[in-house]
Amino acid sequence: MFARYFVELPIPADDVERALSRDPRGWIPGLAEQANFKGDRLLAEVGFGEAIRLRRNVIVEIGKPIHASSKSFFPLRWTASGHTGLFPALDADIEVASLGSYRAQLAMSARYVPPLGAVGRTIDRALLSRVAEATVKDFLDRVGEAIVGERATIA
Amino acid sequence: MYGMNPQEGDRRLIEAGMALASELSLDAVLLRIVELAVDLTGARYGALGVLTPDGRSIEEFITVGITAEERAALGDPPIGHGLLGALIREARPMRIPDIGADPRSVGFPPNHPPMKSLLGAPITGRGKVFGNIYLTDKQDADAFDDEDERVLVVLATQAAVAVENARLYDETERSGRELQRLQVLEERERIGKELHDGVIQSLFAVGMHLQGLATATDDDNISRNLESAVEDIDHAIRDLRNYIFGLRPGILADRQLDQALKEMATDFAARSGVVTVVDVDADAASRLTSRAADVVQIVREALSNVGRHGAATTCRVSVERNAAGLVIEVDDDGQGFDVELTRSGMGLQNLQERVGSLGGVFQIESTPGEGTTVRATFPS
Repeated sequence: MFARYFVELPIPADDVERALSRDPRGWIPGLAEQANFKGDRLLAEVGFGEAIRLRRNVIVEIGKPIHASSKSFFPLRWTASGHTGLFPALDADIEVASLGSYRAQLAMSARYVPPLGAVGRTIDRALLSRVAEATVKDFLDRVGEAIVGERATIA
Repeated sequence: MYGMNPQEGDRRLIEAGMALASELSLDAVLLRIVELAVDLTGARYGALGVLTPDGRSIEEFITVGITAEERAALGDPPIGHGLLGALIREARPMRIPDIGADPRSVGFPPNHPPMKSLLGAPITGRGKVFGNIYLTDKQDADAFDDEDERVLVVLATQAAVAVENARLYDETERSGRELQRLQVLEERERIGKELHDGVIQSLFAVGMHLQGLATATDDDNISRNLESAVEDIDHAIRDLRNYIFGLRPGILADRQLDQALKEMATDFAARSGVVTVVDVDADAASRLTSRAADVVQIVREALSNVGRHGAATTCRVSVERNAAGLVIEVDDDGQGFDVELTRSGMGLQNLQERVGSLGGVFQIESTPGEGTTVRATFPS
């Protein structure tokens, strides 16, 4: 299944790319300090938003970015670190595109495996879709906040 | 060619120099040097000891005049004791009429053929000794003479140039291959960018659209068909991403090979209705770890064939290690086909090429009405 979400950030695209190219502990939301930081495998928390955040741990893998003509792609994959429950495995690209000199669009195009295997396919697909969208939205909102917050701190 | 006068010797040396110049690979040059030295001096046996980088011992020993079996019976090659070591240390021509009588001799190992006379010379290039030529048992005389030594010294000089040329050639070849590899990587990067910025984005948009339609429709049949199309698009995107990012197939993430194959089989069984069992030997799987992504891809293609063409009810995927090597097999009880008539179709050529490119052997056994076995065997 597919999910996509984007936010606009009040900073140049180059700054966003630089932030995403640095240590993921600076921008992956809720990354625990004691997380198992080995190479590009990280443990992070994801959820549906402030109100009902599950604080579910996922293993995040980050690939080498691709810089295309119109935008840059930062490949990312996450899988639940323990009992998968309602949480899907997810492959995504975090995309950075310039919206002029001082603004950037941060987007996430995600593909995920419905949870619960075959059972997952039979339950309310609309609900699953909303869960995935909410998860992606929550994750990307917090990535954006982390990047903007970090830049403000540096400035 | 031995027992010749100096003029004849010079002519033969010129020919030898030309012969050496025609060789390009270092291994071929080294062997040619020994063959020419034996030929020019009338020695029964010849050898070339390539020295270690510190120049103190022998790291490679090329021989002429003894068979592979005789050489194997001698055990480990010499590293530079006795007279061989003396030539290494002194780095100048050495002529010994009776090896056994020389105080520097340490004798021969068991199974060594008897040898009496010795003629040796270093191969020196750029002020450094590359190795030494050793010749033994002059065939038409008791010992090597001045002319033999002169010929060998000249040959060793020519050999030094040939060795240097061969090394430069090897280096150039390696550089060429590296450049080619970099060009391939650059091209792959370019294709990756284009695929990602164009094809994947378009596929994603189509997938989102179809997914929305599947959710919106009240017709379960249409919904299922749309979802199936969404899954196909999802798989296409995944394959493209795996290619672009050089990632392992998605199914391999955080899973061992046997788990990945079992998951793939479960998914295949659910989609195709073919009862599929997986039998993976843990030892074989661990030996295939570095090729796990390729194994997954091979099995995926083989299962895809079973699903599309096999009309099978059961299928077995196995990974085992036997006398032939590491064997991956996909076996079904479907309709089978005539292998000779269908060799290039049904995705078999892709499978064959993939297995071949990985250094494996691809086999297919099938008889109409009796199922099909696809087998890939890799060295263990």
